Amino acid sequence: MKIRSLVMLACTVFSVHVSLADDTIKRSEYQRPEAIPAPASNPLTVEKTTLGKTLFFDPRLSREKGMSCATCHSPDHRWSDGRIVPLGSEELEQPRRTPTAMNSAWLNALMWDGRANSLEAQAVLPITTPHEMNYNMNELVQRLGEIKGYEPLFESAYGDAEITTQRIAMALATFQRTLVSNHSSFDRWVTGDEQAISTSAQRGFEVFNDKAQCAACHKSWRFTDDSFHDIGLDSPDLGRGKVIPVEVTIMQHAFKTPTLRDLPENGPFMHDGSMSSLEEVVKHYEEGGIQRASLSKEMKPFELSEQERADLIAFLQTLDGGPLDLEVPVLPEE
Amino acid sequence: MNRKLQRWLLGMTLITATLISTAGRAEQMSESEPVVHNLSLTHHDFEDWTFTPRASDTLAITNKSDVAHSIYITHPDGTVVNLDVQLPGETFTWTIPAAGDYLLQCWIHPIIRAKMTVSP
Repeated sequence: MKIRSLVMLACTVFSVHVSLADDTIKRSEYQRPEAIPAPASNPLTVEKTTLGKTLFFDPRLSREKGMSCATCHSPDHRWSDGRIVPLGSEELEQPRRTPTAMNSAWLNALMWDGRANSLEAQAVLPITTPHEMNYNMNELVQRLGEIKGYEPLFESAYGDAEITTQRIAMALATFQRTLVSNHSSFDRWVTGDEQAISTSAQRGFEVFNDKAQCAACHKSWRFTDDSFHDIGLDSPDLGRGKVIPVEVTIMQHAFKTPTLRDLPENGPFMHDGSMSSLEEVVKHYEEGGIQRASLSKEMKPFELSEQERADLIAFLQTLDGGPLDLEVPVLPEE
Repeated sequence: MNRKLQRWLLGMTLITATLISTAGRAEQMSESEPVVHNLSLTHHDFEDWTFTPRASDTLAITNKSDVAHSIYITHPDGTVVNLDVQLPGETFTWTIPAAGDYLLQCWIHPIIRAKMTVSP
């Protein structure tokens, strides 16, 4: 009897030890980086950030002076808009939800289909898209040149007051690089505060990494692999399949893996905003999505108990660091 | 010289000639015969390689990650060759058609990007 007890105790200690070791390895994969990356051609500076922030909130960047970048990437909605269909996209056949601008400093493929490969390249796209800000960069340069208040901002940022398309894009990109998620309770747990998240959320972390295999795509501290997958949604939108050769079947209906940080409580979720609760999202993954040739190889159906589903959602909620502390800028006068 | 010795000498001469000619061919083949190079693919990168690829060599690329990849190769003239989908653990091959600079990328994971210079 004594021997059996000792063996059982040894087994328990061993398995707890192994489990803790696994857990520590997994947690270390979600450590936050120490610094914000920026390209050598556009280093982060306070002055450029100030200019970029002003431009970001200025509706005069749109033709009708009624829409700024912040209209759709609003601080009140975690730098998205909370809408299923973005403003101006109502008439589009395949509108896509507005992605958050947070943590975009780490992105190397932007937009849902990855058609921009840098924040600088992405920055001009909404300004010049007809159903968004509907302007053109030459006219914008001229318009900003007529606003006296921009002169000192450009001078501080670049050493002289010249306004160019490139400088506008660089400033907007720089400001967006500073939009970094606050530390959440999950981050505190990762760095060793065992009480930072509930036991339910800790179990959810295990489900996330093991049974549900969410981490196959939602990896790293930003919970995205910056990659493209068809997750089997019932949507005619070809996504990345529209911008790369048609014979690449695996990219048909593929969209960029979104971050899971700072999720809005009631969505909308998915590229088309078609889901409004995390329960709905989790069930979609459990079912495995529409079976078709382009379906991601990482989409493998699984089944969770009610408890596991609740644990998983409790875990996802620990990734919320709350709104960023940011003051809306005073716009320069003409 | 007796007949036996003559036959033995003739036989030895033939064997020696054959061996020399075979060795010469082998040397010739080792200079030009295409080589297969092994290359590993991880989650988000190709592992560093130390070999020098030459035209007509073959790359045997093994997906050592636990996710699928979809590798494509841009040739020096801009032609793009798609290598379909590579599941975890799979090894796939690609024979290098000519010398020049090639770009190896993944459709699924744009972060995967490796430049390979191929000698003639």
